[in-house]
Amino acid sequence: MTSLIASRPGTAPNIVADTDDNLAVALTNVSVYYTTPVERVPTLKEHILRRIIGHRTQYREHWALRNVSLRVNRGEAIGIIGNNGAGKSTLLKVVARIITPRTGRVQVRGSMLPLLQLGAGFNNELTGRENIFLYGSILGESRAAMRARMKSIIDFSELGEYIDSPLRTYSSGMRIRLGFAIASSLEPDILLVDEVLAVGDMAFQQKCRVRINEFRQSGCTILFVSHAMATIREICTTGAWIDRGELRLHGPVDEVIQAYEQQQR
Amino acid sequence: MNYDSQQEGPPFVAEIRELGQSYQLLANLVWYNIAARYRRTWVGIFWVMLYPLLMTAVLAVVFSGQYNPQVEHYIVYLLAGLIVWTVFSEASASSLYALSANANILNSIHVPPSIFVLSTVLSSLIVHSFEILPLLLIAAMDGIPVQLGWLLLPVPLILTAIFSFGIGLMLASFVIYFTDIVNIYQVVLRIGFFATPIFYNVATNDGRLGFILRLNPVTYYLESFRYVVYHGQLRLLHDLLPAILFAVLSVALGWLIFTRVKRDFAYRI
Ligand SMILES: Nc1ncnc2c1ncn2[C@@H]1O[C@H](COP(=O)(O)OP(=O)(O)O)[C@@H](O)[C@H]1O
Ligand SMILES: [Mg+2]
Repeated sequence: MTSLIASRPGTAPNIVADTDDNLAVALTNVSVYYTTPVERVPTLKEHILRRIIGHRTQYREHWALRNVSLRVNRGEAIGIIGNNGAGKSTLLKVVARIITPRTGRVQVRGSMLPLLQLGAGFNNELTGRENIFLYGSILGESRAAMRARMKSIIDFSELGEYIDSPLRTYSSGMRIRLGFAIASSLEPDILLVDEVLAVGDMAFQQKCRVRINEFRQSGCTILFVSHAMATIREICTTGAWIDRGELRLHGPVDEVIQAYEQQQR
Repeated sequence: MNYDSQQEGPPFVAEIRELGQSYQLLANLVWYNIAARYRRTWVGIFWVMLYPLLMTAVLAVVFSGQYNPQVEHYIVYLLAGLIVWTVFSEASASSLYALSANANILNSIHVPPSIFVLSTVLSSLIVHSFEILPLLLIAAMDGIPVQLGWLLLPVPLILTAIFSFGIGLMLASFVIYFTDIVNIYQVVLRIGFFATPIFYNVATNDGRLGFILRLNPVTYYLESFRYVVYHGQLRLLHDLLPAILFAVLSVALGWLIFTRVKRDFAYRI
């Protein structure tokens, strides 16, 4: 298998040829817009009233991605950067099949773990242990698979005996630790990370970075959204800069970060 | 594992396939939903059973005085009707929140959205199935013979759930576009309560009321369920066939609407 060899900061990554074999994620001319009603909240009553007086509800199209084409090879770790509202999360959602692009094409090869929000679907009334099964099945894992990983998940989360207490007794830090411990117990081919590491204390963030580096070393493809340039430099080999919905620059991570930071000044 | 947005196939079919593949998630959603609801109050499940009993008592007091429905075992009649009505109304009404209550999942992981409507309906079905116990106890005390045919009771109840699933799919789709569906449906259910033979007898009602009762699909689920309680049998032509037909129709239409608009869910919730 061809893979990108991790580069030390400051050196250019080895670029591999874009063959069909090593494709992990490809976006071709992807555009996404959200429609938001210009007027008030949409109700059937208003809709009908407007129809009667011959006035249709106005919607505004809000373009979050415009004509984005991006290819990520297998084993590549790409850092996605850009200002707030640039469209980074939307890009990951398109790759994760959460939204279907309005136009363009998305291709994904391999199993995927989207970490867009840790612990989505956690139930406060259930214990940590029960939530491991629940969240595991949301991520597509069987009970047996989760049972086999139970111990390592509990160890990683550092929850100890709290694992059998209801989640409503957890602090937000404990919830995030559990969420990350569960999700990162999976072995995906492609990992999507959206700023989830920005939460939690320093020690935990460090642990997460180590874990994500392990993913990368095992050949996992990573799409990593973050505002922490140091982390992106540490984890990623290439970078993509999204600017107001458009792909502004795609290349070796240092070049992209440099260009982005220069423009910020 | 591979995905190509241009080779998805028709959503009507794709959603069936994905739902079929997610049975483990479905089982967990149903089980943990029930566990979470009734965990803290062990008596919670008894409250669920108590509610139709109290309701039945109230209706019995109100109606047995001045209104003669000409039904034998009127208490059993009321309770059986209420159980089916509760499954239908609760399952369909809670489908209105099935997607929004799981918005954080739908916004961060790809799952077939219909799974949340289905798990909501199944939870209602399972929880209210417990009410069969007090129903049969009262039936036996009231002189209805204890019979093997009672084992057929899940049939009309499951058909009720299937019918409710179809309605739930439609409601879950509409509420994405028009938030006031919640209020409108509340009114519909209030009216529906009186347009369903919960406390009156279809057989003795001709004229306008009888016509409305026979037009209302929910009537057939009540009738079928009651007949099993009373006689331990299913009647194919009188109510089972219409019940099956309405269930199939409702799910087919619901599925069509739901899968047609499902791409919009993630954009809107
Ligand atoms: N569900 C939504 N409805 C309407 N607009 C949205 C929605 N989600 C995102 N947007 C808009 O799309 C743009 C891109 O958002 P996002 O992808 O979250 O950006 P980023 O993650 O880079 O901060 C923003 O302007 C945001 O306001
Ligand atoms: Mg974002």
